[in-house]
Amino acid sequence: MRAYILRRLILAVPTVIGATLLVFVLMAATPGGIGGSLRGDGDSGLVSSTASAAARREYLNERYGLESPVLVQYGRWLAGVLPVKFGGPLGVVGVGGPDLGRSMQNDRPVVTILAERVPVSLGLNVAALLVVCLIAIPSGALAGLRAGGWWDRLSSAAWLLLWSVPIVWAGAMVLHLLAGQSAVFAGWWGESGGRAVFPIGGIRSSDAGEWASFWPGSDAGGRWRRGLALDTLWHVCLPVVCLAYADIAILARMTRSATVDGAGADHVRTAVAKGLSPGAVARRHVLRPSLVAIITLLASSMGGLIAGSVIVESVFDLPGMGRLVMEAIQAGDRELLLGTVLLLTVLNVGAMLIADVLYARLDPRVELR
Amino acid sequence: MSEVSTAKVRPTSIVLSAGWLSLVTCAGLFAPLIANERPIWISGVGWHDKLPALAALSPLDVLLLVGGACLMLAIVAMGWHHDAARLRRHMFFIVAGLATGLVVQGIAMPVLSMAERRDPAEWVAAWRARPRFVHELSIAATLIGITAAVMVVAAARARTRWWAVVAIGGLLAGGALALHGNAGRVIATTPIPAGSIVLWAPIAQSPQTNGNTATQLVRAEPGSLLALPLAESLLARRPISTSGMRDMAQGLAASSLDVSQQKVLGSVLAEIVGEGKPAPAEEILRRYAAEEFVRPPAVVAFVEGSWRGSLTPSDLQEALGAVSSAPDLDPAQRVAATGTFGSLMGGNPANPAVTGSDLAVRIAVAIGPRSLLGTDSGGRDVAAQMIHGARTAIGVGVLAVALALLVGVPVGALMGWRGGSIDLLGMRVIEVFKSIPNLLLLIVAASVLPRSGVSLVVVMALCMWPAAAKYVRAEFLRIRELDYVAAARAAGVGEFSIVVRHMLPGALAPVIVNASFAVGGAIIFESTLSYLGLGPSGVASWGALLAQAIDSSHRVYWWLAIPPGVAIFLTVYALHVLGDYARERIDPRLAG
Repeated sequence: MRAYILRRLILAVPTVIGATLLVFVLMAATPGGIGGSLRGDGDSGLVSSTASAAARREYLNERYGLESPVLVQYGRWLAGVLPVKFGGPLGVVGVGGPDLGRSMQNDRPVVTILAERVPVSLGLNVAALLVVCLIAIPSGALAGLRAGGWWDRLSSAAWLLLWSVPIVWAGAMVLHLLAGQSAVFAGWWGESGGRAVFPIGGIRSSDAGEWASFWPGSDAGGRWRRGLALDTLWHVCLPVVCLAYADIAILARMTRSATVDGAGADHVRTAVAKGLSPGAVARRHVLRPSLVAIITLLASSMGGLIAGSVIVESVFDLPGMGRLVMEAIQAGDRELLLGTVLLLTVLNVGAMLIADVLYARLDPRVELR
Repeated sequence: MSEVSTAKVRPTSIVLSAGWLSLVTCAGLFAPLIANERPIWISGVGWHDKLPALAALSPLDVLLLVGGACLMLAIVAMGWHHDAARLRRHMFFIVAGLATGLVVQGIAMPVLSMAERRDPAEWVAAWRARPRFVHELSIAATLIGITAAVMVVAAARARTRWWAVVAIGGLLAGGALALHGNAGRVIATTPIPAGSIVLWAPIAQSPQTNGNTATQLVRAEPGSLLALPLAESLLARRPISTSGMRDMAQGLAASSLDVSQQKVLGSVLAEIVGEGKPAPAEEILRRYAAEEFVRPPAVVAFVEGSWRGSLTPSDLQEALGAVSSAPDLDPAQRVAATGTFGSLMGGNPANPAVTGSDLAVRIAVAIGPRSLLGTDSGGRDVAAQMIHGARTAIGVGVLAVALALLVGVPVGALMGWRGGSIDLLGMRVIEVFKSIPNLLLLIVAASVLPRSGVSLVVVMALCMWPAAAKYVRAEFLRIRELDYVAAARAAGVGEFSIVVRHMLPGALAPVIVNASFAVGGAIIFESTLSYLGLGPSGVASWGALLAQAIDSSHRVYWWLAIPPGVAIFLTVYALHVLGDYARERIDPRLAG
């Protein structure tokens, strides 16, 4: 097992390098070149005087080596990221943390920017994953245990329908119906007319700083305050639903087919024959083995989920990693985009590795090679 | 077990899905005929013909339309060659549908004219004079589409399988249509007629021009290539150079003039350029204003010209009198225009906020042409964009998947068949692609390439080929060990022949099943990219409409969100249903 993990980790290195190289080459092929809009020589260059544009271009060229060949530039970037630092008279100089460079756009370390954005995306996705599990697994298991029954038919149709709804549209409709004070259903909650059922965007209310308390309760003046916990929950409610519904559909289908497979196995027939109660058979002999496949699927879908939050974050205006990707692309900010891609790729590869290892741990029949 | 465990796809839903898909395909196939009539942007200056739909059709369009129609007929004939009676019956349906359309059109014309109490001789003249041909063609195209959908439904009920052939053939034809770049050229655009009437009316009407006209021009067309040379020439009393006029001709399409006005101004410019000497702006404007076609309804110009400031109730009364006796309005327009006054005066007679130009805009909107599903922020017709969007969706989806298969299947086959170092290398490459989340790769790649339909197809294929390759490779690894392959090899069949004739057919089943889901995924990807502003530019697509539905301050315009959303949803759902069905039929092992 340990050898397998080690082998996979070693194999993951060229994969991650290849992925960043792919993105690097793609970015180098941008019509305006890397950081084109920043250098002020793009079509929409907003730099007013040509002198300052030239100075800025020169600075960026020097700072990032933008005039050397693409592979050399990539080598520079990679040397910064690798934990082993090269250079100096003796070759290897020492070991350091990965240096993702500084964002071209606002000259802040990429690591700092990522540290601000990651918690939002991660929180959003963990919440979505929780929702997915809580709804999809019971639904799929129930459908699979009574395959062909009314719940099976109803939920299959419903999940297939949900699966086909584009997230962008779902987000738009949810915003239109529920979010903000001009929403269709505004004022249904609470007594005062025109009160928002859900907030429009962001992760906190703008006046959240005044409350200071984390948990809901009354403030000094005796007025009831939501508290930061409830406020955040209120803000991410719609985004989480939008992020979760498509995966609910997929996971419920998978759970159902895993359960159906499990219910047909020989050991289940034996368990029924020896007189176990139907509930015990379902719990111990059908659902438990089918959990293996479900957990594997969940772990491997994590990476895709995070990428999926690009849309949700831009619809609901949340300051997460997905929005960061869009901001980096729009500005042609190479360092920022590469850092984000690297992080997402590592997360994705890690999730796939965890899925494989979990699979082997949970199912002793699987042997890893 | 398999009988119980497979979630049976209901026959009705299969039938409905196939019907919806063929309807979408027909809409995409015949989009220029159905939706070009009004909302069309004609590139090229100096067109002087009277049939907008045909003017917008390139020879290639005609070829493809004829080809598409022939293809569909051929498919129908193929499905029925064994049953001549049924073929005749359905051909009868098509002909009867067309004939009914023509008859309905023929009856509706005089009835409508009678309702307007016109002289019968007048409608005969109108029938002959106006480009009715366009209407017949669009009605015919719609009827063919509906008939085809009905036939698909009928045939699916009769348990024949050719509907799948029709659906696939139609999808491919739609894809071919989109590929040649037509979707990029024909944009469903109707500039707001109201705006252009109001903004250009005083300019075109006034005989003498001055600095005031220059200001009006710049206000009407801020930043436009059209207005700036004119305004400069007016202010500096300097003729416009020939190259300046070419610039203006280029800026024409982006102006707020409607199509007919653009064409007239375009021909005026071409005429002056042809004369080969610089002309002052006054000359251009005078010739433009002299064209019969340009004149806005007199009432709008009258209102706009008479009251520059706020209106008093007595002003409104006077304007109402002018409208009810305006000579160039037909009865329906007169009712609409009077209604505008009614609503203005009924609400608050002394409303100081009502200005003359406000009133003129409202009247122009009231008497302007109506759109079935409304218009978007640029005044473009939503219904027309939906029809052109069907072409984009089907074209991009089908072609992206086809390209991905074209790359993925040979690569996967090579990997699975040769194994060894090729397999290892291929798996690394596939893993690289799989390690970047799909949407992320798509966004990065789409942001780099030019915003066109073709590059969108390439980008999606780039993201989708690894999945196809992986499926084929896994199947090849399995099939390679089977006895019949060994038998073929023992019988001395060549390697290439074994791979192509014996292994590939068996390996393709899961790929084909997944292709149906992949097309659905590609359509969703297209809408997502368009939403993020990375879709093809200048192409009408469902995603682009959806993107316009939410503005930066999170306001949602529901009439822009619902039609494309429902269309995407239904199309993707139909593809999923058909994919499930194909999974059951083609490959029982996959049914689970």
